Amino acid sequence: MKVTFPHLGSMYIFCKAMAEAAGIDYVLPSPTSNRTREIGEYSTNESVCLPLKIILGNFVEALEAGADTIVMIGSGPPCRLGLYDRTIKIILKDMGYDFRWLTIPGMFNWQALLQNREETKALRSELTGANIARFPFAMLMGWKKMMWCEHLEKTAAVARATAARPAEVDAILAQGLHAVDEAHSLSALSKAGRQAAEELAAVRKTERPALKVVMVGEVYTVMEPSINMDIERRLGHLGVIVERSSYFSSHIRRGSRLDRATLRKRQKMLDHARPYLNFDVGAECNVSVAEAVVAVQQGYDGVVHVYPFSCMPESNAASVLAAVGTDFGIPILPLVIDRQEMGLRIDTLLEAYVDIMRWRRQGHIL
Amino acid sequence: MSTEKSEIYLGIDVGSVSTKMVALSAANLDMVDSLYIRTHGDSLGSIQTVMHRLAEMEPRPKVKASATTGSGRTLAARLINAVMVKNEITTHTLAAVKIQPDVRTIVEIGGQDSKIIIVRDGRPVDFAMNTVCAAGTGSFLDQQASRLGIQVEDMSELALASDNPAPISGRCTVFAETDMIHKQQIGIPMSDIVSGLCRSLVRNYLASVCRGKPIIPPVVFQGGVAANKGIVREFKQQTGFDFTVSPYYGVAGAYGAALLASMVQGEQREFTGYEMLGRDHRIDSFACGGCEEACTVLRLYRNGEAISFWNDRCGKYSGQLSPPPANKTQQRT
Amino acid sequence: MRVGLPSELLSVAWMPELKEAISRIMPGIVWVHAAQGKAPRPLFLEGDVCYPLKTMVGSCLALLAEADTLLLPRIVGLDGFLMCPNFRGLPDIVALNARTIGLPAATAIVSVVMEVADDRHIKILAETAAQGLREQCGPGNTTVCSDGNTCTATPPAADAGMARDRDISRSIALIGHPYLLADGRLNNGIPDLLRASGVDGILCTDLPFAVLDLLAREYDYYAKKLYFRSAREALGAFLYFTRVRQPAGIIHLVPFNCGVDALLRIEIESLHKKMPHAPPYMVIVCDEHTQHDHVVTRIEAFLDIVNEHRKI
Repeated sequence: MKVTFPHLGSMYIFCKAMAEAAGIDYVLPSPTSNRTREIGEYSTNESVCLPLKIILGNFVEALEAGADTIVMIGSGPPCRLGLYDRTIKIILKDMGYDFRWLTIPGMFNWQALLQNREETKALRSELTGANIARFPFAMLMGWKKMMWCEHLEKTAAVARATAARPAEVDAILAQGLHAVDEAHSLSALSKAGRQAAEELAAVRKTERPALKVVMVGEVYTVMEPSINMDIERRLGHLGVIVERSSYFSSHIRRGSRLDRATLRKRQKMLDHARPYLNFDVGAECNVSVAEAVVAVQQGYDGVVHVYPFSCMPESNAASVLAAVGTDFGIPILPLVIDRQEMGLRIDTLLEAYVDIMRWRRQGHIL
Repeated sequence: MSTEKSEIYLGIDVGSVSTKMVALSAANLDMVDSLYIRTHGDSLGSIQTVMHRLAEMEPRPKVKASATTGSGRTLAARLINAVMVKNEITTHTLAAVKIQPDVRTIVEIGGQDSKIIIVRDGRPVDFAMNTVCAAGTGSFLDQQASRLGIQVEDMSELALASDNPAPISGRCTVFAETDMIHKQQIGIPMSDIVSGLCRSLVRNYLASVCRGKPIIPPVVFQGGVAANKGIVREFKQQTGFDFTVSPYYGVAGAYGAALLASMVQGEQREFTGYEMLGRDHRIDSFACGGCEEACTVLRLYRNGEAISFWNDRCGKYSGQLSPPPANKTQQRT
Repeated sequence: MRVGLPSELLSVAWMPELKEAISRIMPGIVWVHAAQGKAPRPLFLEGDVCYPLKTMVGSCLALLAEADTLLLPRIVGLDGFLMCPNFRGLPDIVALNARTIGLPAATAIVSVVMEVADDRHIKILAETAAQGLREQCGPGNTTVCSDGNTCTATPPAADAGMARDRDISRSIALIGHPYLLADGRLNNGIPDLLRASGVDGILCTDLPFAVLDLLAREYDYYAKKLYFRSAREALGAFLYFTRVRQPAGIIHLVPFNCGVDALLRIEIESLHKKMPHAPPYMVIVCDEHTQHDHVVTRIEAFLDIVNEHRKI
C-alpha cells in the first residue's frame, strides 16, 4: 500500500506523520505547478472550481509516482466538497488509473461511516498487526505536528508583518516546518517547534505599524497557498498581519461534532451574520460574513475574501460582504480564484489595497 | 526667474500598451507638457523617448522631483531616480481629485485595465480592478476597430450617430467579434454596430468590475476610453449619471504621479533621468540561487556596466550599492 | 392584497401546491408573478453567480416595488433533498438589495422556511405563510381585492400519466433544472427552437420525481444525500432515458457557472461513454451572453447527428 493525499496547506505534514508513524508507505504529492493545473483543466469543464482541478492534478501526479491509495477529506452537504470524491474517482477511473480510495469523513454521520467501512474493508487486509497497533501513536503524532505547524504559521503571520526583513521570517518558517516534519519522536517535535517559535520571536522588527486583516472564504482556497496566490505571505511582506480561522484542526473539530466549544462558536458565528443572513446558507458562507462583522467590531483594517469561481456559498457571501463593506466603511478585498493567472496584477492589486487601509488609518495619503 | 519657470514636477506612467508623461510647473502645478506614446513592448525605449522630449524643451527643465506609476513603474523609478513609486489607484485618484475635489467615484477604463475607485474626502477608500478578463477594457474596442477596418478615434462619432445599438455578445471578446462580423454580414449599419460595442463594453464594466461597488456621483471618467463619446452616453444610459470626462483623461496616471511628486516632503533624491540620453541601456535577468525563492532578479546596464538591480525578495542585490560578483551569486547553496 | 411570487419559482416542485393552498386560506390575494417595470440592476450581487439567480433577484426586486408584499419562500429542501445554497440565501440577498430600489432592508418580504415532502407539510407551510402575509399587510387588507384568484401563468403540473404512455422514440429529451426548462429567457429558447424544427420535446420534469429518485438510488446508494434535488432529478432522468425508455436524443441544459451541474456533467458524460447503445447526448451551456445564432447552429448539428444515429 502506498498512500497519497492532497495538498492543503501544511496538512501534508499531518498525513505524512500518520503514515510514517503507522509504518505505511506514502507518496508525497509534488508541489502544485502549471502541469498540475493543466491536468485538472484538461479532464474537467469550464465551470468546475479550481480546487477540484488542482486536487485532481495532485492525485494524478501522485498516482504516476507510484501511489495506489488515495486519502481525501470529505464534507457534508450542502458543500460540494462532498461531491469531489465521486467526481474525482470517476475521472481517474476514466483516465485508466487503478487505485483505492479512503475518505476522511468531513461530517461524522451514518452515511459517511458506512462509506468509510466499505472503503477500509479492502485496505485493512493489507495492514499488518504492527501497523494497526501503531495507529493511536500515529494519530497523536499527526495531531501534535499539525498543532505545531498551525502555531508556527500563526506566529509567522504576525512576525512577517512586523519584521524589518520579512524574507527572514519566511526562511525561519520554512525551516521550522521542515524540522517539525522530520521529527520522529514527541520530544524531538517539541524541540523543533519551540526553536522555530523562538527564532520567530527574535526577528528584528520594523518601526512601521502593522495593519491587521482577517482572511475569510472557502476552506480550501484559504488554506492552500498555491490556490490563493500565496496571499498571506504577500500581504505579510506589505506589513499586514493576516489572521484566519480556517485551519485543518478547526475543521476536524467542527466535523466531528464532538467538540462542544467549537459547536457553540459556530452557532455564535451564525448569530453574528444576522441580520444580513437569517439562515445557514451552507459551507462557510455565514462564517465568512460573521468573521467580517466581528473584524469590523474589533477594529481590523480590512477583510480579504478568497474563494473559487463558481463556489455558490461564497458567491452569496461575496454579495453580502459588499454590503458589509459599504455599511461599515471597511475595505473588503474580494479575490475570485479561477484558472486564469493574475501574474503581476496581484501585486498591484495588493499594494493598492494596503495603501487604502493605511490611509484609512492615517487619515491622509502619504 | 527663468530657473523657476523651468522647474517641474515630473510624472511617468509606464503601461503595457502606452507610456505617458506629464510635466507640471513647480511654481503653480500648471500643466507644462504631456506626452502619450505606444510602449510597443519596449519600456526602456519609451522612457528614453520621454527624456528626449524633455531635453528638447527650451530651456531644458530642471526636474525638482519625479514619481512613477503603471506596470513598469519600478523600472522607470530606477532609471530616473524617482522620489516616489506608486500604483495607479493612488495616482488616478490624485488626478481626479485635482480636477474635481468633491469626486466620489472614479471610473477608469484604459487599454488593458479598468478600475473603479471609490473616493471619500479626497482619499481612495475602496476600489476594484478587472482581474481576469479584457472584455470591459479599451482593448475590446481596439480589436474590434481593426476588425471593422476603422480607427478607434472614429468610433466616438460613429457611436453617437446611432440610436439603435446592435446587441453584441458580452462574455468574451472573441465571441463578440464573431457576433459583430455576423451583424456586419447581414447588413447592420456600422454606426449601430459601434454603438452596440459601446453598450457591450459598458455592460461588462458594470457587471464585472463594479460588482458591489455602487456608483455615486460626482463621477470622474479617466483612461483612454473616456475620449469615446459613445461610451460616455452609454454610461449615462445605464447608470443615470453624467460622468465628468477629465481633461487629462489620457494621461491621468502620469498627471497624478506628477502631483504625487509635488507632495513629497523633505530631502529629495537627485533626478538622474537626463543621464539616459546618449547612453546605451540594456536589461537582463538571472535566477538567483541563494535560496528556494529563486527570484528572477532584473539587472540594468548603462553602457555595459551593471548599475541597478531589483525584483529580489530579500534585497540581496537591490539593497547593495554595488552588486556582488556575478559568478558567486548564481551558485546554489 | 397584491402578493408577488416570482414566476421563476413557480416551476420548482411544490410551489404551485403551496400557492394554491395559500389562495384557499386567503381568497382575496391577487398574485403577481411578473412586474410591469424593468428589473433593476442589484447593487449587491456577486458578478459570477448563475444567470437564474441573477434573474430571480432582479424579478424579486421589481415585484417588491410593485406589489404590496413579496412572498419568497426560503427553499431548503424538497422531497427529502437539499436545494442549492442560492435558494437558501435568496430571501436575504433580496432583502439586502432592497436598497437598490430605495427600500429599507427590513422590508415587506414574507419568507417562510420551505422544507416540504408531502401535502401535510404544504398545509402547515401555507398557514404559516398566510399568517406572515396577514402580519405584513394588516388584517383589514385581506378583503381589499374581491375579484378572487386572478392567477397569472401557472406551469402545467407534471403530466405523469401521459408522459409514461407517450411514445418518445422520436422525441428529444431535455434535462435540466426545472426553472431553466420552464423559462425561455434562461434556456436560450431551446425548447421553442425544437418545437419550431418540428421536434417533440420531453422534459425531465414531465416524469414523476419518485421514479427518477428510485433510479438514482439504485444506481448508487451514496449518491443519496449528496446531490441537490435537481441534480438528482437530472441523474435519474438520464438513467431513465438511457435504461428505461430511450428518446432520439438527450440535451442537457446547464447554466454557466452552476456549481453542481459542473460536477454532475462529468459524471453523466462518463456514464454516457460507457453506454454503447445510448442515444446521442449533448450539453448546452446557457447564460445571458449566449447568442441565438450559436444556439441554432448547435441544435441543427445535434438534430443531424440524431437523424444519422437513428438510421444505424
